[in-house]
Amino acid sequence: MHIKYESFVREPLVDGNKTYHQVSEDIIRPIEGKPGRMWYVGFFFSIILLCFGIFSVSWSVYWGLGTWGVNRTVGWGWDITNFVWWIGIGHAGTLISAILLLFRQGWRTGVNRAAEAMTIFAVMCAGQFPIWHMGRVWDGFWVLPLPNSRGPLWPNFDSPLLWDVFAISTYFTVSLLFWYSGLVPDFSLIRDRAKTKLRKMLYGFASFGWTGTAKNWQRMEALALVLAGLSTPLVLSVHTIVSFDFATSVIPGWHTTIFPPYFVAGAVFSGFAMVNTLLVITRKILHLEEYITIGHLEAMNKIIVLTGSIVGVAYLTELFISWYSQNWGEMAAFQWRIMGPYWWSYWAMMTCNVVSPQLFWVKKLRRNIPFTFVMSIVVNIGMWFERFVIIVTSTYRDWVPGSWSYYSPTWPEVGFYLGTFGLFFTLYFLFAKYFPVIAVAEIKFVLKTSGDNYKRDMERIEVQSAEEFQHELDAHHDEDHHEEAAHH
Amino acid sequence: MFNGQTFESHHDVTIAGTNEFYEIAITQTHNSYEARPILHEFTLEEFEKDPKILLKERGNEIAEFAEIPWLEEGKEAETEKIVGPNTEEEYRINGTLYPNHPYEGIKWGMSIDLSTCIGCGACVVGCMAENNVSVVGKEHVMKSHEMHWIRIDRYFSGKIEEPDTIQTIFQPMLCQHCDNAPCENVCPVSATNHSTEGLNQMAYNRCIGTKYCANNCPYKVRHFNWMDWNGADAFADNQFEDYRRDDLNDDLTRMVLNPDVTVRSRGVMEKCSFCVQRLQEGKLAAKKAGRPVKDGEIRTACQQACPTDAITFGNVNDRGSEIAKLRKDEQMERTFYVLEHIHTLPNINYLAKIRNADEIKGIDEKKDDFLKYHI
Repeated sequence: MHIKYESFVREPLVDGNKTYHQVSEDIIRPIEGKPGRMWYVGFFFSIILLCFGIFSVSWSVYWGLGTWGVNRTVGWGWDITNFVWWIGIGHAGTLISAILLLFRQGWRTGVNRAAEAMTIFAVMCAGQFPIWHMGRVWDGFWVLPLPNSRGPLWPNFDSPLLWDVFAISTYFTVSLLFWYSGLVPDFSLIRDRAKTKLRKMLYGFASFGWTGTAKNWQRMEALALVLAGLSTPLVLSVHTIVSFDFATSVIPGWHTTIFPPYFVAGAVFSGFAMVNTLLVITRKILHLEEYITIGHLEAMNKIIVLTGSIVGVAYLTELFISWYSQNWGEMAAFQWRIMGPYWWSYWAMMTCNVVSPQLFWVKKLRRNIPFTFVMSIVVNIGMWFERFVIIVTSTYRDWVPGSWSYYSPTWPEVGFYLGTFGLFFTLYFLFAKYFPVIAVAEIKFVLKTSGDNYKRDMERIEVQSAEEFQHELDAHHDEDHHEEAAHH
Repeated sequence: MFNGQTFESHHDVTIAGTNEFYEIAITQTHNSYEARPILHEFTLEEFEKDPKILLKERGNEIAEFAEIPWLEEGKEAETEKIVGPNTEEEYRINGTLYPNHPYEGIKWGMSIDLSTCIGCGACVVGCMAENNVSVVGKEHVMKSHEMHWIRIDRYFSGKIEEPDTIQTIFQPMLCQHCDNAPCENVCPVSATNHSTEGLNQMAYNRCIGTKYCANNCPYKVRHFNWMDWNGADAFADNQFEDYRRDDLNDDLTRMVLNPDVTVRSRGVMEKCSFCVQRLQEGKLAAKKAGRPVKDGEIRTACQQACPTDAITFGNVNDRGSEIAKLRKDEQMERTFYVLEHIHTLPNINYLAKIRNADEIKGIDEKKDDFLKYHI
C-alpha cells in the first residue's frame, strides 16, 4: 500500500459510508422513535431496584444505623466502600472529556458523551452514601459553610470529610456543566428535526437558542477549553481528597502517603472499565457499532492495562513499605489484611485488579468484545474489593486487640448498594432514550479526517505524485476562497 | 436437704447433647495482646534487677522524636535511649510540626495500675450508672454495638492445654483524652473538641454521626448510638403514651437516670467524659467556698467504684496531687502511655503489671499458645 499522506497506525474512528446527514440520522433516530422492548425491560428492573434501595435507606433512617452491620471497631463498611467505588467510577468521564480533549485525542469523540453521563450518574450514586451513612442525616447540612444562627458555628476546616464535601460538589458541578455545554448543539439538532410541538419546545428550551452560527461555535469551543482546564486538575484532586480521608488518619493500613496517586490510578482504572461495560451494551442495543468501534474499545483497554499496572505496583509498594518501616502496627495490619479472616477479599482484589488485566497486553484479547466485557466487570469487582480491603481490613484489627471485631453487611446495606445501581441505570436508560449518546457535532468534526469512507478515498490520492497532490490541494484552496467570496 | 443456709431439693436429672448451637454474646473476641507494647508486664525479679527496664523500652519508642536531631549533632551516637524527667515534655513539643498548646490551669489526668486491677468490672457498672450509658441487649452486643464508656480488655497467655500456666492481664480501656486527639481533627462539624483542662469532649447536639472519629480512634473507645436504645426519640415511640412503648418518656422510668447527665439520642457518638458533671460540680463548690479544688475532692465514677484503688485521678498541674506524684516520682518507672509513639499524647497513663511469677508468657511464642495460634 502507498502511504504517503495517511497514517497507517490510525484506524478509522467512524466505520461505514457516512455523510454528515447519515451521522445525524444514526444517532438521533433512536431518540425520535419509540424505545425497543429491551429498553422497557431494563428500565422496569432499574426502577424496581431503585425502589428497593429507597426502602432500604428509609428502613435504616427510621430504625437507626444499628440495622447495619458496622460496629464500634469497623465504623465504615459497605457504605463508604460503595462511596469510594462509585466516585472512582465517576472519574473516567471527565478524564476522557477534559484530559483527552487537551491532548487532542480524536478517539474520545465516540465515547465521551456516554462516559460523561456515566460520570455524573456515578457521582450522584456516590453522594448518597456519605449522606445516608450519617447517624443524624437530618442535621447533615451542618457540613455546609453557610451563615447560620447557631453561634454562628462553622464546620471544621481541618476535617478531610469536609474537604470531600467541597471536592465532590465542585467535581459534580463542573462535570455537569461540561456535559451540558457539549449537549447544546446536539439538542438544537433534535429541535430542528422535531416533528412534534412538545419535542420542539423542550429541546428548544434545552438548547438555549443555539443557531449554529460561527460565533456560537467559537464561544462553545472557548467554553469547552475553559471547562477542560478547570476539570483537569479536578480529575486528579477529587480522588486525592477522598484518599485523604484515610491517609490523614492514624490507623495502620490507612495512614499511607502513597494513597493519592494510588487512588487516582485506581479510579481511572475502574472508570474506564465501567465505560467499557456500558459501551459494549449501548453500541449493541442502539446499533452504534460504526461509531463505537473495536478501535475505541481497544484504546480504553490500553488505559485499563496501564492503570491496572500502576495499581498493582501500588499494592506491592504498600506491602514493601509496611515491612521496611519495621513498625509493628504497620506490619501486623498488612499481615492481618492478607492472611487474616478477610484473606479472601485481599486475594480477590489482587486477582481481579493486578493479574487479570495483564491479559490485555495481548492485542487479540484487547480487540475481543466478549472478553472486554467480561474483563470490564472483573475489574470493577476487583476495585470494589480494593475499597473493602482498605476500609474494613484496616480497622477490624487495628492497634488494640481487645477491641477487634468482624463485620458483615446486613440486608439494608446491601439493599442500599443495589438501590444505587437502580438509580444509576434508571438515569442511564433515560439518558439513552432522550439524549444523543454520542456527541453528534464532535463526530462530524472528525468525520472527514478519520471516517472510514474518507480514509478510503485517500487511496486515490496516495498514488499521485507529490506535485499532483500539491496542485489539487491548491485548487481546493482556491475553490474555498471563491466560495467564501461568493458568500459575502 | 439443708445445706446450712437454705433448703435445696433435687430431682432426677439427665443430661443429653442436643446438637444445637447456642449463640453467646461477648464484647471481646480476641484473647491475646499479640505481644504488642500496648501494655507492659514484668516479673518481680526482672523489674528489681533493672527498674529502668520500662523507661528504656519507652525510650526506644519516643526518645528519638523528643530531640531535634538537626540541632543537636552527635546525639545519635548515644547508644541507650531512656525516658528521663523531661523526655515527655520534649516529645510533646518536638514530636509534631504544630505548635504546642499549653495548659495553664487545671489539667485532668488519670492513672490506672495494671498490678492492682483485678478485672472485676465494678468500674464498668459504676460508669454506666453514673453516665446513663445505655444497655443494648444481646442482639446488639453480638454486633459489637455495646456502649460501655470503659471496658476491661482481658488478655490471656500461656498453654491452652495446661490451665495452670495461663497468665491473665486486665487493662481497663476508656477514652484516653488525648491532647493530640486523632478524633478531634477529623470531625467535619467539630462536634468533638478539646477543653482547656485537657478533656476530650463531645457536643452531642452538634454530632451528625459520620463515625469518622470512632474509626480514627486508635483505642476504639468511642461508641455510637446505633439505635434509639431508650425509646426516647424514635419517631414512632414518641407518639405513644400507653406505658408500654414510651419507656423513658414517663416520669417513673426516668428516675433510673442520673439527672446531671444528658441522655444521648440516636445517631450521635458518645464516650468517656471523665465524669465532667462531677468535675464541674466540684469546681463550682470550690469556687463558692473561695478556694482552689483540693486533690481527691473530685472522684470519677470508675475510680469510686474500684475496690482495689487501681484508678487515681486528679489535676496533674497541681504538683502536690497524688496523680502528679505517681507519674513524676513514686511510680515513674512503671508509668507508660498506650500507643505513646503515635503522638496522641494521652491524659491517661498506666502502671506496668509486676507479676510474682517466674516468667512472662505473653511475649514469647514458645510459651504462649494464644500468640502462636492467633489467626
